[in-house]
Amino acid sequence: MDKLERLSRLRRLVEVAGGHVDGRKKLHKLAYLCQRQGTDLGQRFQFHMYGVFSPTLAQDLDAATTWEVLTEDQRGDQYEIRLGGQEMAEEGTPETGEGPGFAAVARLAKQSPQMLEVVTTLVYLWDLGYHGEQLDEKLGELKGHLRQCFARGKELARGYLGVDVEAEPTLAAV
Amino acid sequence: MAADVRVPKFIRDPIHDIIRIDDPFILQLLDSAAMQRLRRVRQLGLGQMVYPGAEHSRFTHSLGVYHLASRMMTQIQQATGREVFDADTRRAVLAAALLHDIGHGPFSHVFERFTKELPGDGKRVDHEQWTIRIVDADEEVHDILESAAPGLAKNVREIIEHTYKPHYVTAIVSSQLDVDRFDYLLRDSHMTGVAYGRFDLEWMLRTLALSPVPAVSAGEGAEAATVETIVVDGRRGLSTLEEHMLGRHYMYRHVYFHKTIQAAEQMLVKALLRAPAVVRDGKALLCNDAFRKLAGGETLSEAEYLTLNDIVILGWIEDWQRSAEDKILCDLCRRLVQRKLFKAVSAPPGAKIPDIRKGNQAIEQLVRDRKYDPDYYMIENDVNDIAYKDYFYNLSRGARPGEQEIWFVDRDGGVRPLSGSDSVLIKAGDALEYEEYRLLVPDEVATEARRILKWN
Repeated sequence: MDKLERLSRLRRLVEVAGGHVDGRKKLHKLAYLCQRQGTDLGQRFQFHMYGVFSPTLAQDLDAATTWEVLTEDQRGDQYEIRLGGQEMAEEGTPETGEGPGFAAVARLAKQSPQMLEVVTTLVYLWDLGYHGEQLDEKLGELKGHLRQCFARGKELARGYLGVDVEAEPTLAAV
Repeated sequence: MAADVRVPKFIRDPIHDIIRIDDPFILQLLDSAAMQRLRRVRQLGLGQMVYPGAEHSRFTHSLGVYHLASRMMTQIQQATGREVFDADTRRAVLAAALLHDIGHGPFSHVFERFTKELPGDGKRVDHEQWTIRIVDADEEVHDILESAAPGLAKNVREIIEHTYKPHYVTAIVSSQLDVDRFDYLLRDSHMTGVAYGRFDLEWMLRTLALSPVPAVSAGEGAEAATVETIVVDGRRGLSTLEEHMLGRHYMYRHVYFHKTIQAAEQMLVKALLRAPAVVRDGKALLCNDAFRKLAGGETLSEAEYLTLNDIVILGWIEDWQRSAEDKILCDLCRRLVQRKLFKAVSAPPGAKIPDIRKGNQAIEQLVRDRKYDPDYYMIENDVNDIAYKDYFYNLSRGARPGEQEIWFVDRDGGVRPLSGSDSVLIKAGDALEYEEYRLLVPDEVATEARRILKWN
């Protein structure tokens, strides 16, 4: 996927999230869910201490702000990401606007950053093969300080992402 | 399983002089088919197109990472004065360090780019995921681990997945201060002859310790937490750290993002992407069952994936340049074998999207005018690196520290994030950012494009 197409899809993600995203961490989590649900953003995600993130997304966000596709405005100690003046309609394809991942973003964009952190972590673990008690244990180990979000996080994962953490997942294919 | 394994064993290495192995299971892992395959996967892909000395393999790099992981654990243990690595953790770190690249495909990252662009299911497996699969499902590797200690395979997997606790264990193998980075910079520098990657490893190791650092979770109002992680003693080691990070940055500029190496690798990706179409058309093409399955959009097993390495692919490329029943595939392979590589045409610094669009359209027309297919003869190459950046770094000083921070002990004994410091890496800011947007095209197109567009 070329750079302009990636920036086009990134802009579309912010658009369907309501035109703004509170903070870079939230952007990474929404992008992860968007891609996981089937709309390729051309990004590669990793997992670290505090959840999923993408080095390539960080670079594309820099380019997006340099090229005014998106803007970042400081609010307190956080940056709010908004749509910039540079349109990307020329790079659009039917997928760009209407991918299934964008539908997931639209549904989950209003969730708190803590809730998204729990949802993305349990989805990430499920995709690795964790489920049932094993998943509960690992989720508790990694996100014990967000335990109050676990039950609702599982509901959101089941309802919006088709992830039943009690059931055994299937691995990704090449 | 038990072979007649004698320890300790000593292996000579051009970077670390002598690598000592004390654990029989490590020797067994080294002798496994999956590890031996890494002798046939080059560390720098097609880097030897520009740096002829860059013939080193993922096998030697993996040995180096194992060696440094052992040294780092010893240093941290000494610095903290307590047992922070019990026997199980130590075994897991050593095994994870040795096995961390076992899932790399032919020519390292080239194969990943290739599988990512195959038509069909957008979800592709990267080398880290292949590593996890091999640890779990390769009978030989899994059995060696479980015979060494029940549960060891699970621990190794968790380190590679970054879900192992405590965090500092994972950080040894994967972080901004990890042994993977230490080894590849020194090794790549030595083998290419490019000096930037050399840094004072001995002093760097001596300045490492553990400390709790403030941790933040996403969003406001999350319960404050601390996490124990690897820190640098800034009172002694800040300059060494800066030297290391700057060296890494310059290696990206001059080696990893070198335009000719990028051209060779991208052309190889295009050749590999062309081949499945030839297979699907029913034309004869030298390849193996694993490649045919990929061409057909099927899933590979771990055993099938492990049949792919540099030597196998190079043999195909040699054959395809002469015998493939496809002009584009023949031509791309011939260009690779004879080193007639595409040239880079770079957008000027400060170019905006309308400039990029205009340039792309003009160059595409030039490609078509010469009867080349732009899908294969015009390749976007967009490179970007900055010497130090936390991915969530907020530019205002004193803001909440980000997740990918390096932490250091300051002169007053306080532990601080590098992003809020007076380090040259922070003060230089954008000056240490390298960014280039290029199109890779045949030589004659590049010449014409530079003349018309005033791109470089």
